[in-house]
Amino acid sequence: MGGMDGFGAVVHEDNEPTFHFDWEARIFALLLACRPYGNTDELRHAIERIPAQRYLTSSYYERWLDAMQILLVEKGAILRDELASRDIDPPTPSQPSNRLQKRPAEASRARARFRRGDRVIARNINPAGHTRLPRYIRGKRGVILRDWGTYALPDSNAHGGGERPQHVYSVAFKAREVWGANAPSRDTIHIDLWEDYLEATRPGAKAAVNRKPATGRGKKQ
Amino acid sequence: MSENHSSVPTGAALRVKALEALLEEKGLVDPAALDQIIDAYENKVGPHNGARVVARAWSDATFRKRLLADATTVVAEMGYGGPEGGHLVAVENTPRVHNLVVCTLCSCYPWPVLGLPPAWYKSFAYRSRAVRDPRGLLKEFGLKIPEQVEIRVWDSSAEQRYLVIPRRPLGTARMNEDELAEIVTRDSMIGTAIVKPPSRKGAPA
Amino acid sequence: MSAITSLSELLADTAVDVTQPFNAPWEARAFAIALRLTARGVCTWDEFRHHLMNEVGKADKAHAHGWVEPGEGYYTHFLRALENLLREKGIVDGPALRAKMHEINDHDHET
Repeated sequence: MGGMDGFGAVVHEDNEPTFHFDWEARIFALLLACRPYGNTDELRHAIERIPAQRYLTSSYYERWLDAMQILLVEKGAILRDELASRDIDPPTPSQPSNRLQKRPAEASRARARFRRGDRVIARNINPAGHTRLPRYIRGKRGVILRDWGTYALPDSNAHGGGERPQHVYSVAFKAREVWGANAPSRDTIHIDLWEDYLEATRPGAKAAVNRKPATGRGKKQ
Repeated sequence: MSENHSSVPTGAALRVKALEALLEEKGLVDPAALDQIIDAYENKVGPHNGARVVARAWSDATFRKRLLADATTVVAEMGYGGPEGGHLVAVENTPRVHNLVVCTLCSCYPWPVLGLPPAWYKSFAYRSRAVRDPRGLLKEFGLKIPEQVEIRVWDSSAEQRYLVIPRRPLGTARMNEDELAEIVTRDSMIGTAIVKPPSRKGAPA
Repeated sequence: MSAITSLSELLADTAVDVTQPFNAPWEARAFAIALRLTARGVCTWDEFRHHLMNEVGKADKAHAHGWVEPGEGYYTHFLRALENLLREKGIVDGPALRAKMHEINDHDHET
C-alpha cells in the first residue's frame, strides 16, 4: 500500500521556526539510519501503537523517538534492557491496533475475496450484537474501489469471539441505488465494509473498471 | 479546566466525579494524566494541524501526490498522529467532485488533524442527513453545490478516517504556506464548507 | 429548555461554542477517562465504541420517532457507554457508583 520508498524528502522552508528545523533534521537523520529495521508501514504502525496518554504528553520529537524504539525493540535490534541501562524508558506498545501485522501465515489465511471493480451487494443482516454494517446500505449494490488490508472483525472481536481477520474494502454506492430515483444522479456514498458484510452480486461475477470487455459479452448485470 | 467546587455538581458531573474517584482508588486512572489529555484536546490537537496539511498540499505538488497516496505516513511526518490517526485518507475536492465526511454509526473523526468533532457533526440530524440528503444539508451550511458536481459522501464505518482537501481559492497565488494555513477552515476539511477567496485586505474570509 | 432537534437549530445555537470540544468540565473528564483506560489497556477503543454505538443507536431510534429527551447531548451517550463498559468488565458496578455519588454529594453539601 502506498508505494512509498522511504520517508520522503525533508522539506526545507525559509520561514520555519528554528526549533522545528532542528528536531526535524535530527529525527530524519535517525529515521534514515533506522530504515533497515522498518519500512514506512511498520513505522506508521509503531506510531499508532504509542500508548495514547504517552503520545499526547510527548513532544513531536519524543513521539518519533518512541516509534523508533518500539520498532527497534520488536525487531531485536535493541534490547529493552539496553535502553533501560541508559535511563531510557521505552514505551510499551498499547493494545495492538486492528491493523494486523502482515505475517505470511495470516496473509494467506486472510486472502482477499474481492478486488477493485467487483460488483457486490451489502448483506441484509440484522445482527443482535455489534456490527459496523450501516442499516441504510443493507441489500444495496455497489462496486469495490479499494482494499484497505486486513482488520479484525468488530462483530466478533467486540464479543470475545476472536479477531476473525479479513479484508476491509472501500465500496462505492450510487445515491440512486440507495435512496431511489429522486436522488441526484451523480451523487455517491463510499463506505468501508468488512468482507463478511459483502456478497458478490453473482458468484464469480466481476465488472472490471479499466479492462477491455471480453468479446461478445456485455458488462451489464 | 477545573471543577467549580463552590456548588453541588449536576447529575452527569456527579456521576463523572464518582467514576473518576472509584477508578483512581483502583489505580486505573490518575488525575494528572486526565488533565494532560484534556489540555491536549482543548489546546493542542485541532484543525490548525489539518490546515497546515492542506496548505502544504496546495503549495507542493509532490507532497499533495504523496498525501493522496498515503495520508497516514505523510501526516505523521508532519508530527500529527496518535488516537484515530492510524488510517488517514485524504480525499480531494475537484471541479467534478465535492467530498463530505460523516460517521453515521457514532462520531468517528480524524482527531490528529482536526481535533474533536463539533456538536453538529455528532448530531442525529447530521449523521442521518449527510447520507440521505447531502445537498439539502449543505444548503443549511450555506453551501450550494452545482448539480453537475458529484457529491461523494464518505461514511467512516471502519478504521479509515477522512480528511477533505478543499479546493484552493482564487486570489491566493502569492500566499505562502503559513498564510494559506490561516484561511483553511475546519468545516472545509469536513466538506460542509469551501475555502473562500481572501478579502482584498488579505484577511481570511 | 427545549431540545435542539434540527441541524439548523444546532448551527444557530450560539450557546454552543464551535471551537471548544467540551461544553462542560464533566464532558472533558469523561472523554479523558475513556482515552486513559484504553491507553492503559483496561479496554480497547473498539470495545468502548461498541457501547457508544449502542447508546447512540438507542438515541437515534428515539429521534426517528420524533421523541427527544431534553438536555441529551452527545456526552450523555458517551458517559452511559463508559459506565456500561465498566460494568460489563466488572470494574465499577451500579451500587458502588451510587454509593460514591452519595459520598461526594454529602461532602460537597457540607463544605
